[in-house]
Amino acid sequence: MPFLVGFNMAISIKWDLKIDRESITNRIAKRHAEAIWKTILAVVSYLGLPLYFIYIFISYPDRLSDFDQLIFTEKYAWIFWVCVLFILFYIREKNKNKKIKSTPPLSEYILHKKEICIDSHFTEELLHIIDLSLKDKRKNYPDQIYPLLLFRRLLSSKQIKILFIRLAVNYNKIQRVINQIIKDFHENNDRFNIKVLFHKAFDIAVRNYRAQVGVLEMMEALVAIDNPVKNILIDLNIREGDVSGVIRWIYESEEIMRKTKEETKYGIKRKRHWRNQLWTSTVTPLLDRVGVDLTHQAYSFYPMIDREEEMKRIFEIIESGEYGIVLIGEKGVGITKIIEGIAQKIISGDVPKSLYDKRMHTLSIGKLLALSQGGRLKDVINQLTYEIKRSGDIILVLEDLPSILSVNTEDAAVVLEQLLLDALENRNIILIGSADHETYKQARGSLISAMQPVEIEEMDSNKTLQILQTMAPYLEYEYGVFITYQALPKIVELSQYIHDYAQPAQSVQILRQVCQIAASQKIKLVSRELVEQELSRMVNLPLSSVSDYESKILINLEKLIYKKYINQKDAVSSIASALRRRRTQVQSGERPIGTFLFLGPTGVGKTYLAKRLAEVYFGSSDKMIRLDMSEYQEPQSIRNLIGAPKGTGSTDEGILIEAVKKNPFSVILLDEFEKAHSDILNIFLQIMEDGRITSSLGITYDFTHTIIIATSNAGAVRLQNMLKEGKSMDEIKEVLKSEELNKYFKPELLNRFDNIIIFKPLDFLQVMAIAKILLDELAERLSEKDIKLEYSEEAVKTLAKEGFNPTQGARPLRRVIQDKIEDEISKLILSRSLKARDKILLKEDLTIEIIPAKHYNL
Amino acid sequence: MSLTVFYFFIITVFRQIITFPAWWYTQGLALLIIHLYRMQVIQLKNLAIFSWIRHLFTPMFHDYTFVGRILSFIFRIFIIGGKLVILIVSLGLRLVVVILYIFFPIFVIYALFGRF
Repeated sequence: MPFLVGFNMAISIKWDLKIDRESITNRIAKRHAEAIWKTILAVVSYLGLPLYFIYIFISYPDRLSDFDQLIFTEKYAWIFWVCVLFILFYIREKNKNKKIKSTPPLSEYILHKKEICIDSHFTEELLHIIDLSLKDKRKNYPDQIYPLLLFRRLLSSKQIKILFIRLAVNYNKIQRVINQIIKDFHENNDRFNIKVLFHKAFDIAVRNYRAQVGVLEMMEALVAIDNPVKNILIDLNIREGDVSGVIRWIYESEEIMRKTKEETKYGIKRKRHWRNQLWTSTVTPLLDRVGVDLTHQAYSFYPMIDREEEMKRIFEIIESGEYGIVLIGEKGVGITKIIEGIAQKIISGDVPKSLYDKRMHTLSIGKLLALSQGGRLKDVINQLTYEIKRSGDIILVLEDLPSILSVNTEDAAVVLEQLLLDALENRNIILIGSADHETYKQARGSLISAMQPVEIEEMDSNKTLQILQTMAPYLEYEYGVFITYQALPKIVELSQYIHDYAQPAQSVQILRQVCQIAASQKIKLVSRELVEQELSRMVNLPLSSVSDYESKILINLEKLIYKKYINQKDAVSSIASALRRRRTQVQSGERPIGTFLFLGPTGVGKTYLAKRLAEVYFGSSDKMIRLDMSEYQEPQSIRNLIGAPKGTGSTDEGILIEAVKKNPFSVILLDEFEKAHSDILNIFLQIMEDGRITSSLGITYDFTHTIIIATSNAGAVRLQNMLKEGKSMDEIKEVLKSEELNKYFKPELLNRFDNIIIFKPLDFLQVMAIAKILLDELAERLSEKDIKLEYSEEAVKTLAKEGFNPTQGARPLRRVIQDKIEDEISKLILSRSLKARDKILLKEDLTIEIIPAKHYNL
Repeated sequence: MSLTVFYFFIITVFRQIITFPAWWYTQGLALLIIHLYRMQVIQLKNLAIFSWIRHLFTPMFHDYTFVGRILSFIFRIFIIGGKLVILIVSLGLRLVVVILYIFFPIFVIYALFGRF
């Protein structure tokens, strides 16, 4: 901080306020005296004259016409004038803090000073609180406890109360805790320098361009340096950044309130008459029917934030004589808001000459078409452009311009385009259109090329947060809820999982939704927890407890998987430990949760393990996205995966993108990975490396919450041979990597996998265990129909024998169960031989015996 | 304590009375004039008299016929006249407010003590 250098080197800091007992008592007494005087002034000012008039009415009901006599010569007339004098004093009291020039920020003030006395820049409120806390300290408290005493006194300040409400801290609770801690405080060896605290508060005020040091700055100082208050707040899960964030928010919203108040006071925010100021405009009855006058409504718009740059650019273009502008940006970047902002500026007169006194009007193509039902569209358009031209003061707003120009009823678009172009060239109209990148690129035509493009960028998280903070009071008012500070960054953070709009619209929409939900459930506080809970519902995953939930799973991963999975111990344990390793590292967060390559012959449980992982890790087997890579052998098939390249006009985003968009938390299973084309492998290399991919429409999707599993049969024969030879897993892995896999995959791709996992062929006992699991699953399904299934060990053996095939592993097993058992049972159910509460027994030869329950004839 | 408060109360009242004129005729007056000035600026903006004079010959509501031009010229003259009247009256009123502000405390003092 360059400023700090000057601050430390050139300026000496003084503290003039005396803090001996007598001075403190005197200052407090003086403030009490002033408060009493103020109260007397207020009471006399408001009640004095009315009481005097009541006295007159009662005493001289017949002499009310000689008013001057009553206030000049009446016996008690002096009371009247004393009251008037008090009112004058009261006016002074009310206005004495108003400055002719606003106080400059401290950073500016100290620039040319050699010496500065910091207490003269403390607000009266803060000085009073300091005096009170110093007085408390006189009761034999050590220095170390002073921060707590000060904090207790600070809590009585209105601004500090707002601060803690925004931080979702129970105000009474914190007060109780503080009192308790002060009571129980034991002296220790910590030292605390009170002056350091005051200097810090001053320092904070200077750095943040504040005009004075107030209670908020002192609070910020209390959390910035080491002391008991800071520790208490940390235990309440409040960090320094939270406090300074809320304080910045409080200042910003105060500034917006002040501006709005000023605009209302000085008549800028008013409704406007249809007629412009110079009475040169004409009535536009047709235009009024197909659109909305934005200048007319501008008084009701929310304030515009952070788009001054773009606004300046738009004004510059119009000033330079270009009367057509297209604002280009994705849906949700706030183009509508910018247009509303221009309308607001027109109302306040704060615009360049060519925009002065103009009317901003939208045009709804839907209304236009509805109006011209019966084939008069061309006439209507003609009439409309005639009106606009004649009026000469219209700024026509065409949202989604390319789609308006592609309406193909009766060549309407061609007519409209020609007429608008004509008006534009004759400078009868200012046109502001909007488009997103894709449609703008595809749009052809003389009108669009005659218009100047202006790019509107998506907002970054900081600016989005600022928008949310500005919107919060309005939404609070609208829904009758209270939004805490921590809820807002959470919304910005979590909004990345939803891709309906660009920022800031996405976050604002979520905030609105959460407020709506809170209001409907009669919840007063929109907290971080509520935001997490509601967003979890929207994206189908317990976001709120990702970490708790995840660590529980990670610890028990093997156990959870083995609930319904047999053997492959190496595979399961290496996947579990790889995931644990990845997740316990301080994560860069820029790669998927885990990436694995499963190798092994068919039917050994590769796909099933992926499915189990989806069930265990993400809670449902629906969270598995399965892609058969043998369908992606051609380079063109890339478009099926991540959408058609830009400019081809297709808005299809591709299977992979669509799936991840819907379910950002999922297992992506790539079957027969080796069969994919190398271009497609490169896409996955990028995903594994960066954890993200940009779709063909230019939107970036996040893959950092996915587990990517590729399966492959590559080298399966070799693998089986080596297993038979009894080679170790590491050895096999090395041989496969260097001799088999490199035929299909580039080494950098192989190295990107967190682990290459080898699946062994199944033996008979394992197949039996699998058969048992499948039978248990069937029994579970039947129990939903209140039918009990029992089976003998022999039946399982027969089943395993029939379902086991050395080349196909356990794959035929399911088929066997389906054909021999499930089919039979469904036949029995349909023929009503099998009823609810009956029991069935699976015999050795896989035939079914029904043991009927006792049924009642009802 | 209460005695100290009483002592400071007396001092406060005395100081308020003594420093009142200084505030009233400096900062207070300045604040009033600034407020009136801002109101005046807004009013000028709303009346847009200069723009009206510039557009004296521009026909109203795009009526470019000869009669329309004549009528609108006459009408504009009238309206500009009206606007000027509004401007002068409001300026006058603002001036009156300032004068009242300046003399009011003196008047009050006179009313209180002048006759005794």
